[in-house]
Amino acid sequence: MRNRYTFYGLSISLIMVSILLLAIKGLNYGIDFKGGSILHVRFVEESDENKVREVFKQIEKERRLYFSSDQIIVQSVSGGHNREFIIQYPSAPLDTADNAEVHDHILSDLKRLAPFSDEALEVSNVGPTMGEELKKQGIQAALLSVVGILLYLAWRFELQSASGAIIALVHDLIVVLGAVSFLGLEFDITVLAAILTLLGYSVNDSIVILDRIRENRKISKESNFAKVIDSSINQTLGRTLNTSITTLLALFSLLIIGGASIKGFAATLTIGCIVGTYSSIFIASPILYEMTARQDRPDE
Amino acid sequence: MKSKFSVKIIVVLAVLLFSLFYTLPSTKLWDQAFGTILPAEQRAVPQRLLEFTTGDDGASALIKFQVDRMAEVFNLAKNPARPEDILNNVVDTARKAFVDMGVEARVFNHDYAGGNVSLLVSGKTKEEVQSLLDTAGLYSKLPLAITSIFPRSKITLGLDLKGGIDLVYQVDLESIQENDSVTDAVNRSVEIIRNRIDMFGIAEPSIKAQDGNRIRIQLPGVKDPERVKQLIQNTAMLQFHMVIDQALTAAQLEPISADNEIVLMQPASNRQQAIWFKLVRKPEVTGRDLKFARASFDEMGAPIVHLEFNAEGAARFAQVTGSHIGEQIAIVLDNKVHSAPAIQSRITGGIAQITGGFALEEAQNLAIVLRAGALPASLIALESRVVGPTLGQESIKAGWSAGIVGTLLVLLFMAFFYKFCGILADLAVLFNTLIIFAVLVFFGGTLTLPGIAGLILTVGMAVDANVIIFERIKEELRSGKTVRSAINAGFDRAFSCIIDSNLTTLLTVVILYMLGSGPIRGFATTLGIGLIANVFTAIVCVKLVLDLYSKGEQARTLSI
Repeated sequence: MRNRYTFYGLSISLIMVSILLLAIKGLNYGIDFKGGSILHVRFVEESDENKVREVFKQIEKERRLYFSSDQIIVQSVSGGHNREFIIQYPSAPLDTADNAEVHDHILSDLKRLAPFSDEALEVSNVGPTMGEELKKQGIQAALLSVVGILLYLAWRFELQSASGAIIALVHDLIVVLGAVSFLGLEFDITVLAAILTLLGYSVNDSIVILDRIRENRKISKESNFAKVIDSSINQTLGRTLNTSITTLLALFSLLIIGGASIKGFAATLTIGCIVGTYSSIFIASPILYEMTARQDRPDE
Repeated sequence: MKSKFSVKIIVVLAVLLFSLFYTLPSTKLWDQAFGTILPAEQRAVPQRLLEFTTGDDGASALIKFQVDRMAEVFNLAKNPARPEDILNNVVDTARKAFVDMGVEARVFNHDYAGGNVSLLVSGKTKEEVQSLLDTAGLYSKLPLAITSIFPRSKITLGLDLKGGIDLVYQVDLESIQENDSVTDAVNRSVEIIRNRIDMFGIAEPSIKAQDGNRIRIQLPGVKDPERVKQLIQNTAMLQFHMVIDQALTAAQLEPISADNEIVLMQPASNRQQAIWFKLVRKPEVTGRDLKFARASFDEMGAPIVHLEFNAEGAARFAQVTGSHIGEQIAIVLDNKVHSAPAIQSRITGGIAQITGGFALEEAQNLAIVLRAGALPASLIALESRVVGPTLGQESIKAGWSAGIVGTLLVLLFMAFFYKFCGILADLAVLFNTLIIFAVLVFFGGTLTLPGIAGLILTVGMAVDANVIIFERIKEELRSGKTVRSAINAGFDRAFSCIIDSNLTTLLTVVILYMLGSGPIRGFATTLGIGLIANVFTAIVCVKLVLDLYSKGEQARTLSI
């Protein structure tokens, strides 16, 4: 409790940095949300970014595309021996039959100009309509989750504890989003799912400590609330750390071995797990203290 | 007290049996014991009818697969299987098994009607092939009757693991005929697409109409996604129009009256120039009058599409061709001129051909879509996701190894930190994972890549409940309680906390399930089942073992 102002300071600066990052750099939305196309291919011959760009310049010359070849993003997949690439291009402004047809032409042109093994590994085309819809659905899901958790906490805990957990949750949400923006992780549907899972996980962590504080307040003769909180945190520290360690062990192996497709998902969960643990110890309980102390003061 | 234990033990054993019952058929071990060929197919093309002979050249061997026509699948009252289909599947599985072992094998002397097909294996003797077939584990080593007790369903893999296509189309409202209702057009489109896909032969397709005049099509395990996409989105609107004029640019065909239209003819190759046609707007004959269509070859061996019209269509065709000899008639497919042959003579009998510029595959596709009928409206692809089978397999491999490593780390950590109790928690986690798989099979849930991630996450989080309990028991022991009362107090006090924390996570999981689709739903499913099963394995099962351990007062210490 004594050091709480240090952690407030740390968290507030983390939140500020995150908000700044989100405002300036923003999130790197994946095609799930902004629409667009991804071609994941393994070329027969070794290639590099420039060669792939050249191929698209060639395609652009032969066909009328709705985007310019400068707009494509080419990524070499690590461990792909310079053959495996993920190519992204933007979505058409409108969903029309002609625009949808462009994707098929691009794929066949690409195969003709730069042969890849018999099939593309993955081809996704998301039109603007679906992107918008998914964005709406994502926001809906996030709001629903927060409201659901709020209601649950309000039902199970008194106001002060619930506030502590919720402030910790909002803290986690902002800091994790900030980290996603900082690392430039692609914000796709799996990252959104990871963030929603984190909301549950973060509250879960806070609940364990808050539950203990509630219990200790009832049975302990200690009148100093700060001391009750400190001892509760210490009593649950073993659990908090051990659970975080086991979860992190699972997440690290997912992050390192789990393959490229779920890297963003695993990274988000890993960051969130660390932030969530930090906030439940250093944010949720002190907030509870602040709120209770303020309320108790007239009685003192 | 004693009876309470036995009830619990029975419940735990029952859950264990249930889980094994549903998961065993999905394991590799199962395939090794009962063969990779489906049990029904093993009965239809039984091992006892296989014949091994030496090839004519002496350097190869032949395996002859024969159908047992008495087998149950051929004699079902409803939808009996076709012998050639089963035979084809079995031989294909066998051929692939040989190729996987690095042995060249090809289909030889097929006589599907006679119910037998041979597989020619080069460079091997008769005996070698026989033993190779045994190692391949195609046929069951145990009595097949055992398999009929177990559920037949295996775990369903999502499109991201199995490979396949997921398409969302919007029915283009502008292209619907004026007197047609929108819902009707959407439903008919679904029907027609289903017909086309059935004719193409794709297993387990899912084709559904959705809100907003959309059609969602999910096809797992498609090998040739681009071709299938073409098959679906071809409107297949076939029309025959009389040609008025043609030119290299549309401008040269001006002026155009209300009875005319201008349509482009796409050149067959890049070197040729596109030609514009001025046509009579009203079609003479349309695809609606079509009775049958199939791919065929002309005298030169080039692929063509052979058309047969119904009586009405044939009469119309005869009349039009009779009165316009020497003129050109344009064959318009999906609003593009395909070809515009000159009419040589009056065509009776209602038979026509579309020739020129086809690859065989294209001709086959076109025949299928013409036969299934034209879509009442054109489709706009809103979303299309295609995952090749290679990526799916690689994802399974990566997810599987991440799962094993992650699980091992967690198990070791727990065993190291909580000793005997940690091992109990480890067993609980493994049990939990087993339950997740069993429930997935039981409810026909789908395992996706994020689903595997959810599974791994569950392993990490599932020990949480036990960690909470163990920490509590440690505390109680420190305060001087006996082993038995410490265990009871530990479980009692931790209970509300565990329920609270699992419920909040479950809440977000339910929301993910409701709003998410495909892969995300898979994640929510495994995590959700895991959270619920967790309460059972971590609390009920672990408590039971600890209770049994501390029963009677003899237990003075607890390894925790």
